[in-house]
Amino acid sequence: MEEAVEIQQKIYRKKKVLPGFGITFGFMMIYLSLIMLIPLSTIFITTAGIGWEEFWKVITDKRVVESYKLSYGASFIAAVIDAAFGFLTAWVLVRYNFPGKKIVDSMVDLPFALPTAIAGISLTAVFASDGFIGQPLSYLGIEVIFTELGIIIALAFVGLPFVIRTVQPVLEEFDQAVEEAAATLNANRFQIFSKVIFPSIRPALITGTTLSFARALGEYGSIIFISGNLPLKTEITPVLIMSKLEQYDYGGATAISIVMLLTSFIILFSINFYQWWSNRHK
Amino acid sequence: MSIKIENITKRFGNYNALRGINLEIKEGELLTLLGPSGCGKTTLLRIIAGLEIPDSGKVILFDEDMTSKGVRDRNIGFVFQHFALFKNMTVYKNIAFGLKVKPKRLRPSKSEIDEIIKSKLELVQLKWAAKRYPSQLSGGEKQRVALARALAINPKVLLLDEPFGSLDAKVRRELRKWIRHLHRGLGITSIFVTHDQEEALEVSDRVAVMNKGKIEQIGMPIEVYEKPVNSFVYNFLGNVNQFSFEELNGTSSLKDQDNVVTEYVRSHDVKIIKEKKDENVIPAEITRIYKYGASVKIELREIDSEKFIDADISQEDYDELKINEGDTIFYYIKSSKIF
Amino acid sequence: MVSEYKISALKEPGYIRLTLIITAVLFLTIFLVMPLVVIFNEAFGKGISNFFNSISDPETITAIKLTVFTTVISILLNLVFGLSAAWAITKFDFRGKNFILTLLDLPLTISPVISGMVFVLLLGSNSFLGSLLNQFGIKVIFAVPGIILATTFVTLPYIVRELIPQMQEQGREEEEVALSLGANGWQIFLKVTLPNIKWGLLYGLILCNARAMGEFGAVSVVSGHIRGYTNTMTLHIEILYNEYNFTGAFAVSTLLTLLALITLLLKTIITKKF
Repeated sequence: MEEAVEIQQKIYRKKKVLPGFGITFGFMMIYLSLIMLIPLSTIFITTAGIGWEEFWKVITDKRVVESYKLSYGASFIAAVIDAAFGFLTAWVLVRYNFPGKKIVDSMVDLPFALPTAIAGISLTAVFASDGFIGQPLSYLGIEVIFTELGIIIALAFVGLPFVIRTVQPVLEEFDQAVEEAAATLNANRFQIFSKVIFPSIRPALITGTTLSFARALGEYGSIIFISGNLPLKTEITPVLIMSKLEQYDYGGATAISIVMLLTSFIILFSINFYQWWSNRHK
Repeated sequence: MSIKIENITKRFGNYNALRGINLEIKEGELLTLLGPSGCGKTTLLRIIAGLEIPDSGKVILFDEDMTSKGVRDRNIGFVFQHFALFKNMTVYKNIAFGLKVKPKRLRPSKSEIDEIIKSKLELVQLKWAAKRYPSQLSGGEKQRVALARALAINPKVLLLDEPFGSLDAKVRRELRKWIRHLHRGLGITSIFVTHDQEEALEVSDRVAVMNKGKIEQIGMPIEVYEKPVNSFVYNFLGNVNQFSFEELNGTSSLKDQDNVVTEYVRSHDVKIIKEKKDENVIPAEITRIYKYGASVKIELREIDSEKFIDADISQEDYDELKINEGDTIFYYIKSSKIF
Repeated sequence: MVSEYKISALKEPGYIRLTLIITAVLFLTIFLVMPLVVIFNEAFGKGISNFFNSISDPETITAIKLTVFTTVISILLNLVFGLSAAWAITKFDFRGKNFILTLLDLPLTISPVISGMVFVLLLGSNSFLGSLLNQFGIKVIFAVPGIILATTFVTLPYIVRELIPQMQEQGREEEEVALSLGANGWQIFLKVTLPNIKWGLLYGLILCNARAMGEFGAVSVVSGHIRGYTNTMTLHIEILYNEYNFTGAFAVSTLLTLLALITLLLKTIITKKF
């Protein structure tokens, strides 16, 4: 009797109500393995192949370390710029009305839709010393092309929509009744903003900025034109990886990549964790 | 017996939803599964439909063991609380769906399908809505379409999961009467799920009262209302006051763990009088009076114990008594139950 | 008097609002509008005939054809994947869903150079699989198949990430009803599910398309930059630019820029339909 019940249970657990589980799940896993998991595993296999000592030598090489500093540093600054202007833009789009607002709203997605190479050559043209913005800046003695500043600007360009599109929906959903309650309790506008509105937008802002940072970190196409790729000065990590590949130094390339990959994983999991953590009271 | 449920159990993770359900449903009857949220009634219905798979037990429909068979093979009609109409199809196409998806050899001809749909539309009184889309209909109309759609395939059993749950009170009451008439006309074996006891008592041939994954009592509406087998059933059906008192000499077999006996009194069994007629009446102050429909609800507070008691009296009695909030009156209990 | 004070706490004073709006618009103009202006300015700067010459150059035409070809294939592959994965994830319960959802986001966070690199490692001539395929005369890296694979990897999340939230919100009830009415899997999918997700699907396709055509880093690694053979539009633009043929580079860019603008337009239109 016990056995019969157990067998029944085993059969029942395998069955699904709606049809198609086997085929869709199976296809999904096969596809993910072939297109994603197996290719990604080659990085680890190749790095393992060069041994720990060699690995350490590669990632502590001066040129590599300078590229890490540049990539992480510039991405961070770009993300902060995006956080500030992104928040400002989201606020203006959600809270105010002005002519042409709809067009501005659509334009926000431009960095998503525009190919990075085109972003690269056009930003270079804009900020070159004879460009629309580059010219006035060089009168002030500010050079953008072939400097870290240029890299930061390009990275801020590609990362901007992430902040705006993450903050916007949260701002839109914000319950204005809470603001009104604070007003009846005699808070002034600045207090309401800093103590009531901002804290509840903060998680979205942090998530958006982190996404912007992650995006900037791996960016390639828009940087190579504006930076000049000068080793030890304006060479970002992806460019360095590219040049190792061209020299067939696969071990070196994968070693450098692993550091970036690990960062990506950590960022992804942190975002997921942070979102779970900040939503736990909802 | 058209439907037999044998020893069905179901867990969701750590949560025990159904703990061994045994049930027999007669052919042509409308049985209601009644109980509070979380008692397992919807889970049971879905298991009978095949939309949920039990951990153990059997579901036998018309002498065939359907436990391992899928929804498609059970020939049931299902009506959801939130209608689940195909929003991209017209009312006509919604009702036709079950007929159009039949394999070629079993599919009726175009004209036959058309006739069936027309007759179902007539049945639910929605002929005018044939070309409309679900978004253009009211809640009550949507649910009638859902019913027509389920009936179009001529199911042997009709399963309804809180079908009136998302409708306004007035529409709910109208549809209750309507479905009772419909069922009388069609005679199809039906299982109805609700948490509304009024609905259950009005609509059903029999009621199964459920609580925490078990069936507490099954019987005709009048049976479960007037002869409840335990305090849960009594409490669930009808407004109930509870009086607890301690048995001092310890001989009562009805005590619970704390040596307290609980007496249950329906609010319409609390009678109000203005003058003290004998020693059995208790003084109380009227704290609230609400009039609703044909009866009047009086909230009383006992002078000595400060305990609150609900009384229901008829409109005529209220008019005769001429009482107001703040008055002191006397009450006595006409009948009560102790389990 | 008291009520006036309280209401002012609900809005920023007019001058602040104006300042914020102007700052935001100015920032976006410099950042977003100027690059667009420059693209068209440089493309047509030397006259319309120069523009058309650049566009109709045979190598450009080949690059366009290659881009369209690889994009269409990537989209088709990711479409089938997207529908399959969205169905498996939203219509059933199983363990490990969170892990799979995280996996699906992975291509978005990995540098495109690394995305291309993994395929070189897996299927390049120096690899086990690569040399095996070479014996059969099949070349993946530095050839079209490699470009397709890299593009597919990079654009994998776009369709499925649009479908999942939409299908999650729509729930399973319509599918369950259809099942109770006797429909089989294909009938349920084609007649019930698909019509309900058509806008989300279209949206995902448009995004996937823009991203695929614009991919640069990953294809750069995988293609070998062989002119007239494995050059996509973006790679072609790079080559023209590095040869100081700015008019040519920007001319070809206008095509993809127009695509980007159309994508934005369609995006706005479809979002209204939700």
